Amino acid sequence: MGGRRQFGVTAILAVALLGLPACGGGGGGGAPPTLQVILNALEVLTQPAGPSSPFGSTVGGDRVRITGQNFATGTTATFNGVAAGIESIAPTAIVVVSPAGAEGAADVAVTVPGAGSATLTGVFQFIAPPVILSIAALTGPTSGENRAPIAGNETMEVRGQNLRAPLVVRVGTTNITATVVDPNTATFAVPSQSNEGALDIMVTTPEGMSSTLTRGLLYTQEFSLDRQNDSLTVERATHLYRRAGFGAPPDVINAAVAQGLTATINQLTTFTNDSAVEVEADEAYGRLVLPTNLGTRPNKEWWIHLLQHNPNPLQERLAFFLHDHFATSERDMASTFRWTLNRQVNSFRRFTLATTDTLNNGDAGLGWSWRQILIEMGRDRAMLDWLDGRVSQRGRPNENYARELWELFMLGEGVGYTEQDVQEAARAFTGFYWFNDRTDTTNAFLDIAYRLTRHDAEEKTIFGVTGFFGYDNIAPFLEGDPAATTDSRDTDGGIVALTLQERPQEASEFICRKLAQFFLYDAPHESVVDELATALRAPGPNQWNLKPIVEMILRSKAMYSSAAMKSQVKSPVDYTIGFLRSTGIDLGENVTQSASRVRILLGEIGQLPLEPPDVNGWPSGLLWMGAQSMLERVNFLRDAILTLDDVSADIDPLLPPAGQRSPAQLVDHLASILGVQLSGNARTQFINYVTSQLSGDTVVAFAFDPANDAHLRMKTRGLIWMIAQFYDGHLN
Amino acid sequence: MSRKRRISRRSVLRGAALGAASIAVTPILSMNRRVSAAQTGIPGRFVVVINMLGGADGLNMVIPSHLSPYVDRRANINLANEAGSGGGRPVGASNHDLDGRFQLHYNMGNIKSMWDENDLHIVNKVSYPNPNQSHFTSQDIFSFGVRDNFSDGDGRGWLGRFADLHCSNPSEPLGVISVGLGRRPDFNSATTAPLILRNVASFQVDPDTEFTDDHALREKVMRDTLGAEVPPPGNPTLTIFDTSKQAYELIDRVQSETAEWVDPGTYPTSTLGNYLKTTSQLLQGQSSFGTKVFYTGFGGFDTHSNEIGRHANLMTQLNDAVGAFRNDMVAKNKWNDCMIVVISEFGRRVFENGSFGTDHGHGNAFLLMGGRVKGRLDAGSGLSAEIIESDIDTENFVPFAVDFRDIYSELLLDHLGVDPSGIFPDPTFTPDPSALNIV
Repeated sequence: MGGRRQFGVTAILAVALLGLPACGGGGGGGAPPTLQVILNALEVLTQPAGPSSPFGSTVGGDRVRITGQNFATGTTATFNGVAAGIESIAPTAIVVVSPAGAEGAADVAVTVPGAGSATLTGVFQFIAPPVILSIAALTGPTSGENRAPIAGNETMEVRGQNLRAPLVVRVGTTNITATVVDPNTATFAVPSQSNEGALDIMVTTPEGMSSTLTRGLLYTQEFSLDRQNDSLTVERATHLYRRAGFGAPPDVINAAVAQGLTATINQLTTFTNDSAVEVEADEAYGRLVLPTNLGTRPNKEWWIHLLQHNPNPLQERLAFFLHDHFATSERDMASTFRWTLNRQVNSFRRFTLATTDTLNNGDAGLGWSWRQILIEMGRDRAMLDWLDGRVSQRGRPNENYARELWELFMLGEGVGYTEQDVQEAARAFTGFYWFNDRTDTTNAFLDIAYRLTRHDAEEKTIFGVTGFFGYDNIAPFLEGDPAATTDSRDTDGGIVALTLQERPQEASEFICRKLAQFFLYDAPHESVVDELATALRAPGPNQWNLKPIVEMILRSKAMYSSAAMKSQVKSPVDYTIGFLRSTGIDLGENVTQSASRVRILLGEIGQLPLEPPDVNGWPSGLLWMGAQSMLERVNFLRDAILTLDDVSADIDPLLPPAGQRSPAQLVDHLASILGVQLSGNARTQFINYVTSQLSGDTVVAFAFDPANDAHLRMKTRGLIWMIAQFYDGHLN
Repeated sequence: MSRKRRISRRSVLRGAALGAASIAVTPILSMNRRVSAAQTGIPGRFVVVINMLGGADGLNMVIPSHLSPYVDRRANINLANEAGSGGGRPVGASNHDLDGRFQLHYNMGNIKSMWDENDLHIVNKVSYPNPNQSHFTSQDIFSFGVRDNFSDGDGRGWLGRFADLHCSNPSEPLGVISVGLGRRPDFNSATTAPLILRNVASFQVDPDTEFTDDHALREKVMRDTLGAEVPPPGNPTLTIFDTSKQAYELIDRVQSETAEWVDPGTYPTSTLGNYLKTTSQLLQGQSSFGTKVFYTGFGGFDTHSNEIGRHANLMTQLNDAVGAFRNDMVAKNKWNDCMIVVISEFGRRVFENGSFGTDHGHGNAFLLMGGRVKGRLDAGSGLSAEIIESDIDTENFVPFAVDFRDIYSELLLDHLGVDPSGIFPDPTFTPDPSALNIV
């Protein structure tokens, strides 16, 4: 019986027999005895057994097996008078297909030509089948979407029809009993999953009828800061290096894959300053020795060289993040003051160094301390000039730095402070002024100093706290006492310390949101920001230390979610420095020529380091995209491939091994190095390009020979130019 | 020199709903097949927005020399008096008198001559309700055209909405063009991809000089690939793809349509000079492009300190570039189609700070220039919402009196001949194109 329940036989037999006289009445006495149809039992083959059996769907279509006697060719059946389809007829059993019917019990009648009819009264139940139409989260970060975080535990709503309790929802292979709100609505707690992806959703009613939404629920790991498993694919390693280091050549990617995620992140975040590359840059541009070469030292080229060549890529990547954050420009700066930008960039470059590590100019690392870099910017010469700290004095405060410190650097516009607070903090930021160093009369240069009489040392009320507030650190600028780190009258400390103390939540959320936007994706959910910010402000040795935060992001499942990977638009610096790092191409014969060409090209594309448009930094995302800037990227690639003029030297590192240089192998290998996912169309077109040439305006065959250096040079240059400008190549 | 065409549209408007679609719009003639029927408005007309980024000091641009609070509260940096005589104007420099009361900055001679020609209208005290003193928030309000919750809105900028409504043929990205300022949020659009351009000469693909024939093949393969590509779903990828495709499609057209451009040789080499020169080049293709709004500008106006010299240099840049552009437009017979509007995200504080500069303020002066502008000889004297003594005698901020969206709406309706409704969807504010009398 296959577990199916058959309708009781005896009563039906009686019903059938009772009908006998009427059915057989047509014959006269003496006629041969007529065979009479007899029905024994009914079984639904397409529905499970259950308390309601036998039953079928109100929409019909169920296969029903009826057993009895004397079935014959021409047998018909009806459900509540509506004809059923006949699938097969045997003398003791027929299989029919139920028609549609109204909800409730139905009579099933069978008629055999010459053998009369029999009816099973009320034997079959028509039951409305469940339908699942849609699914959506009611709670959590995916609220309103047919998505769920892999952590699960959010409430999801199923919308459909004929949902009856107890309703079972099956997510993948997990069964959950749902709460039926009404026949069209049910809710359930979504289970967790270990990976992201789409799963089928099935609902099953108590009768066992079900409905499935194929790939109806998308699991996403974009909200999970849990650890990603340690194994790295090439795709993930490339992604990690793009985000944490602009990009990396194949050998670095392969090493990362070999050693796994934890070791790679450790290598990225824990390092000492690489003196070789510092010396290389200093030798190319002249080491900054005050006051001899302060006006002529090209800060941009110097940093471009480091951005491209520093073996600690995260040091430069985060330094550029900080440069964009504390955006200061040397564009309108006096030539005798531009050296201060070199110092500021080095403050960003030593942010990631341990506090015992030093840069060439002797300044110690900041140990990733958010508090320290904020304090450092408060007394940074370039910043004091850029945002007018050097001209703000007692009685005539300048609001510029106070406003931007909170709006752009620490809290966000209008978050946790008032206009009154800005005006009071502006009073705290008084005391610095221009100082023309006369100690060396032939090489006088502009510098900055702090004079007690220029500082407003009266009480201020900020965040509702009244006290004597000033700069957090003024060393070594106090006239007459370079060792003093604070103005002794500012007994209640500096504004950075006050802000971190009074507005810890706002301050931690602000920088964590920005880091998540930088490393993960453009619009991090508040739950992610909150988790990071809570860790950042938690009292303890790591309070306000960004290293654990950056590490948490880089190793998280969110980092490798589909929401994060290739979700950002490369800025011009991302695009150019990433291209040069991934390919190992230099744009010139030597350090100075190469960096100077990159500097010119970055100027044309519109992101010149040390010249951000304003204190808000550069635009981001699609704001970078425009027809002209696209062509400027294309022309950057042109300039880059022009330097590939020697197969044995420049091009060989970019090629697959000899013997594996078919057109398709060349395309795939170069696309992998460049981190570009080609569409099928583009891949085909580019492969065909290798074996094509123009004859007038017509494309004709070209006998490409991979052993011919001239062929290799020409086509490799072309392929790099085409693949790197394909739209996927602009995604970060 | 300008000949105003008097349009009695105000009476038309009074009889009609704000919809203003009843304004007679000259039919688009068969100028070029690329000018699609989706484009509305008066052919040839265009607006050039010049944004002075950073918050320009309108009080030292349109100078209320006759108001003593201006002089008193800017003891070191007022331009009413010379340095050493109670002000900051360089000795020997002369402001340009407008009406015996207000003066233009001493470096604004070209713009003063437009005043004399009846081609300049000044609107003061321009801002929006509850002015914000953050550069970036205020710029966003100008870009989105919505006072509050612009980030929760549809994400479109006012020029994006304008392009969607009035230049919505997807193959026609030239209805609004950003010259030099990149893809500002103003251009965020649902359906159109506006052209973002900086320089015509470099708007092309450089060849691989060693393999010029193979380079020609590469370009062809790229065009073929982009042409045959199924557009990728979703952003940011789709916009990158569109931009790439658009760039290749527009190179030949931009180059060929601007090839006949005559360089008057008078554009200054400043940032704004270059951008207005680019604008003039693109206008050479106006019959094909049908561009309605050019958006450009330059920065450096955040004069918190040592304002006198910095501000003077910026005024020179504005004056020289706009003067060259105006002469070029006159020579090319486009001045009557031209409407320049000079804006900034906010004005500056009434009083000077301790650094010989000024901090962020509220209301500011807008300059409107063009052959059809109602200037000094027309009703309203060419000065709207002028500053009076009580505005600045005790207040720290020049007050807000004119909403910038009223000005934009009048330009859209009366100059471009398009319906401004739907472009500033602010539930708390409905722009009134009749609020002023500029065009």
